[in-house]
Amino acid sequence: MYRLHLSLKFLSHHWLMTAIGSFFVGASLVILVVVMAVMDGFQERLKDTVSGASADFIVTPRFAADLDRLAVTLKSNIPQVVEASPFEQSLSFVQRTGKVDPLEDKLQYAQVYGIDGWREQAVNRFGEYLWDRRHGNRLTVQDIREPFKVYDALDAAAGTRGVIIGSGVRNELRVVVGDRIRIAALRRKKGTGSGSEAADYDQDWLVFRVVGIYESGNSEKDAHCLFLDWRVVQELWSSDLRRSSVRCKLKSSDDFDAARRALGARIETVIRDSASRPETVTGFDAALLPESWKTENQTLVRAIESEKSMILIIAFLIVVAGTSSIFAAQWLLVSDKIREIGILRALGAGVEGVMSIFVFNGFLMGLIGSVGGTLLGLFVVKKIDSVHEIVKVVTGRDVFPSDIYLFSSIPTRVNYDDVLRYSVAALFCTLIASAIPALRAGLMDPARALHRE
Amino acid sequence: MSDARSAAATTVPALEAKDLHKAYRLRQETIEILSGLDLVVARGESVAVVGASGSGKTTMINMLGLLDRPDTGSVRIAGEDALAASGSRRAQMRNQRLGFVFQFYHLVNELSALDNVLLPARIGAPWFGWSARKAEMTARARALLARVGLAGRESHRPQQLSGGERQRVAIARALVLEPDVVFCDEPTGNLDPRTARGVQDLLLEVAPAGRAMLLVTHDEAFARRCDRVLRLADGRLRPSAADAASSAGTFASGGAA
Repeated sequence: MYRLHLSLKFLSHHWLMTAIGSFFVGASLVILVVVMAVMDGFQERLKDTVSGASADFIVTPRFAADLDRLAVTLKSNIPQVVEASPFEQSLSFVQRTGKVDPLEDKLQYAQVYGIDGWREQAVNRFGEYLWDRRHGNRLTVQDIREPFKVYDALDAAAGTRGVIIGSGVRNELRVVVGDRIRIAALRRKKGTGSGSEAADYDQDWLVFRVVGIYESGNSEKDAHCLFLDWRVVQELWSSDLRRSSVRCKLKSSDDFDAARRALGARIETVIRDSASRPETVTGFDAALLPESWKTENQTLVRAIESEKSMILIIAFLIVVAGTSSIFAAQWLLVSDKIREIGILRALGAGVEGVMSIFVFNGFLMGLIGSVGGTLLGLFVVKKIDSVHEIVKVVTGRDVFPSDIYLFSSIPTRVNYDDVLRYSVAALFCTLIASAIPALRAGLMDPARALHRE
Repeated sequence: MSDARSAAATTVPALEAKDLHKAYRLRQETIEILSGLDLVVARGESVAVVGASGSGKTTMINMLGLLDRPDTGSVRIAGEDALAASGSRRAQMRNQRLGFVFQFYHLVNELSALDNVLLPARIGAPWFGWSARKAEMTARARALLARVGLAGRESHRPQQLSGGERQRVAIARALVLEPDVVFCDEPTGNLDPRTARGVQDLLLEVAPAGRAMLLVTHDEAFARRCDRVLRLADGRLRPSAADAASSAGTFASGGAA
């Protein structure tokens, strides 16, 4: 075992070279571990936000369905479904009521969501995203079993309904909980058949009372969403301008494929039990489209994944650059040890033996760097907010403004399998980085090496 | 030593070189260093090679010590054709059959005196076989260090030793695996006369015991203390003038060159 013996001797006697080589590997691993933990944390938080506003399993019928019955049918026929809630979706415009300033009060485009508030909070995080911004309270649907209920006696008498608006809508309209807003409901004119010209529709401006603020953290959604009772949406918007679905919570979000297969196996039962007029559902109409929050937000999910891949590649290139320090250190060591290489060859060491000494040496440097870097990286992730404060004090800049990222702390998630992979990959890179100088050492002419001046 | 090896030792020369040629090409010019060098060194014999600087003494040691390959010719170590052997076998032969003492000691600075002496034994040990031999080899290395006058200096590193002491460590290292041939390349060339005399005494006392010694030196007095003295000139070995007169019979029989 002279190879390991000499490697350790070289390592300890050339401690500065060892320290430099190990430092860069370690530093690059710290970067990789921290960046990927923050990226994973961001992604998880972002996916939570997106999925929290959507559902694990969304079933959209092509036929006219009774959504209440469809929800019950899905829950009873698909074993993976633990809760189901009707969902209507349409488009609208919204404006504040009262005196309108033409410069400030623009007509806003809005996505109208019709939900059953009680069941919706069981399907996703609707309840967690509700705020009463006037009083600064976080409300839950459980607290307000009837989220759209108006408590003003005059409103109740006038039939004014409640609406929950996105935080972005609130900011644009400059309204608070308790204010009134106008929403344009789109309905087909009577007697227009199936025509789809603008003239075939009526636009009714209806007044609603703001009863809550919705803030999911998904700025795109928060800027345009209006939540109404699903029956109100069915009543005010024509069916051909709505998309009617049932959104389900699965036992596990990974059960999507199993739930889809179960739905396929029981599709006839589901259609028969949920269609408004089962006898008319045949052929083309006899279809149910199953989706998940992932398929619903396919572009975003793909963007997140590709962003992560890009950052992984960049961070890994940093590791490769870090391991190049091992190459430099080993090259210098080989240059410094030419005479010793000659001695070893004269004493009977083979090409492989001399190579092994330098490969071991680089590997040990890499091992010190990998272990140290990984542990330090995990420590930095654990103390990321303290590190953030230090960086803020040192640089005078807030690199993570919470008002932009909407998170009060830097989100992190450590995937230990990935961390192990990074460490092993870094070690593999150090092996490759050591191999070239080691090959140079091994192939050195012993006679020349021995008599090097 | 095995019986077969013992039996062979009596008949087979420790080192035998025949018709060695070596030339170096520098641009258009070819410089012939060795041109038909012949040499036979018997077990237990010490042979000194003298010659002017640039005559090819180091090249000759590189060829005979299997550190380099001649263009043509043959080298046999204890009867085995070294040039026909594979690279790893030649490395094994260097380890087990040859010992080297260099002018500049060539110790590994990171290792103690004891570890330097043990280095050939470590190199020769199989991957996981060192622990089995460690005790025996360490005892042998300690005994050798004591024999060369370095008892109690085992843990000292080369930087903590004088030139003469380093050369003694190198001599102990050359002998630790009891090689068939010990090559000494100007072993006293870097030492003051008094220290050099001590190293010469030591080499002549310990090296040839049961093995061959090939000494390359500029020191004619040292050379004359060996059994034979050869002069390297024009790429060939010839008996030196003084030696030729005293041992004409040996050379005439072709036993040496």
